[in-house]
Amino acid sequence: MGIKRGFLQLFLIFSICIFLGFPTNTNGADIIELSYANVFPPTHIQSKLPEAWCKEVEKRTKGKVKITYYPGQTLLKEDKVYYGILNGIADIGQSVFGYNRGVFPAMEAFALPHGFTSAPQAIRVLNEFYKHFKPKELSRVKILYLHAHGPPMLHSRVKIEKLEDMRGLKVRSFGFNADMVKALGGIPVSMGQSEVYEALSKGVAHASFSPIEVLKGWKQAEVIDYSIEIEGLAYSSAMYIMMNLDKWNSLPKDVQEVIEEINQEWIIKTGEAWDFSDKEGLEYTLAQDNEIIKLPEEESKRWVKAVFPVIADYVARTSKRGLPAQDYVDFIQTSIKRKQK
Amino acid sequence: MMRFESGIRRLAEYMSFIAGTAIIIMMLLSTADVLLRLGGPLYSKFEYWFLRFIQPIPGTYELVSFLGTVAAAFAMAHTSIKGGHVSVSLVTRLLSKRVRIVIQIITNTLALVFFGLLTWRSILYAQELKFYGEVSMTLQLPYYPFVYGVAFASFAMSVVLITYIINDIKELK
Repeated sequence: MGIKRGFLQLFLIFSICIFLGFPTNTNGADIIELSYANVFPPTHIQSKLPEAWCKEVEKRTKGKVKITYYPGQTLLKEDKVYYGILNGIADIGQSVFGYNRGVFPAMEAFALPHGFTSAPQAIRVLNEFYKHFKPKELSRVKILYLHAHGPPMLHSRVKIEKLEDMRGLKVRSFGFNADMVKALGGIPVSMGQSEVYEALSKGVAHASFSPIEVLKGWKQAEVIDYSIEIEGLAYSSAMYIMMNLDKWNSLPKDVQEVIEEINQEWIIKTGEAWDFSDKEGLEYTLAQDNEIIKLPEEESKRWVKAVFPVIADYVARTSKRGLPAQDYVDFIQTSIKRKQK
Repeated sequence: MMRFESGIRRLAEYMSFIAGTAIIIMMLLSTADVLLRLGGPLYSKFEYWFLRFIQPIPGTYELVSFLGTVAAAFAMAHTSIKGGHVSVSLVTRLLSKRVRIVIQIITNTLALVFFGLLTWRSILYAQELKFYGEVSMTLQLPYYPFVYGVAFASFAMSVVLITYIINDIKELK
């Protein structure tokens, strides 16, 4: 027993020494190190693009800036990205405005069912909206650029052919379109995109509003059978790439200029990527023997009419907080029409 | 000291009642939610007017996660008093009683630091959530009261740990 105990004590001391003596990293002095937290999984096109963005920044600043990239919520969970950036856990982050409901009342206006027709159009409107209003809620961070997805579809495990089929159906939404689901007669189940696959496969939700891209990018084609296309019922979801304000202000002028320049290029690239991945998603789901149901024009009109009150609700709710909600909505709708001419 | 200790024990017991209630509500809510889903298909089949009102409960997903937080946090102190938590004594049982108590004091102090940090950061986090006005995605319930709940529960846990440490030190003398 005595020998055994002595041996154990030695072992304990030894392991503590190893633990305490673990080497600590030292940082280089003149290289600016930044961290970038993204919610999209590494194989997703919206994760590959930001990764390329990091490389581009490193290249064009000639190695003055070094960015460590964390995809797939490895650094911050999807609804914690905003707080993580404010508190300096990450310097740069990408997530969806709609996951923090109540925090971005102005950006919620963009996610209403305005009837967007494509991702590049939605992104143009979104960036115009941001430039015009400069919402107060975004003044605590530096917005690098904003983007949004194209017209969504309703991906479902059950066949939906008319508005009545929505009654009592559990439909996954994110924060900003929960009211829309309610207006259609469904029961909203709100969650981030990363939880949807499991929710659909286990029946926590029976259907999900998303762009068709998710069927490939998030592998959801495996757990659904139908995608319902409803013409005109197009909300969009605004996504942000933002940076800690103090960190941004601490960057040298030339680095700031280079980053702004790259951002403008990436706005365009991101829009193209959404359109491209929607096309890929469509091919992928057809290859999995899933069905695309395009609702007839008259049926679509009924759906669009059903969600119409959601916009008025938003205006009433947000005006109470002292924000020009009606101006937000009007601006977005005129901005959409401008392109159509 | 004895009165203080029995006081905290009673508080822990009341808190565990809250945790238990949360679990029961969670169970009833999810069961009801699953059963009420039948309303939609039944209505489209029979078209009785009353079936129209049988619908799943909105926000079950969120409520269950909120209640889960309450259940886990409020049960901590009581579980620890009852010795219901996992503790590994693989190595320490070979050591003498005195050394064991010393090790216990060290682990409890570390745990105290951990729960102290948890209390402090939870309060800060709750203040932050309240300031930015974050609400849950479906029901638009505010998050911060639940985070304050976690802060309170970890504070109670810290107090329980302090009583452990005091008792252990007494035993060493």
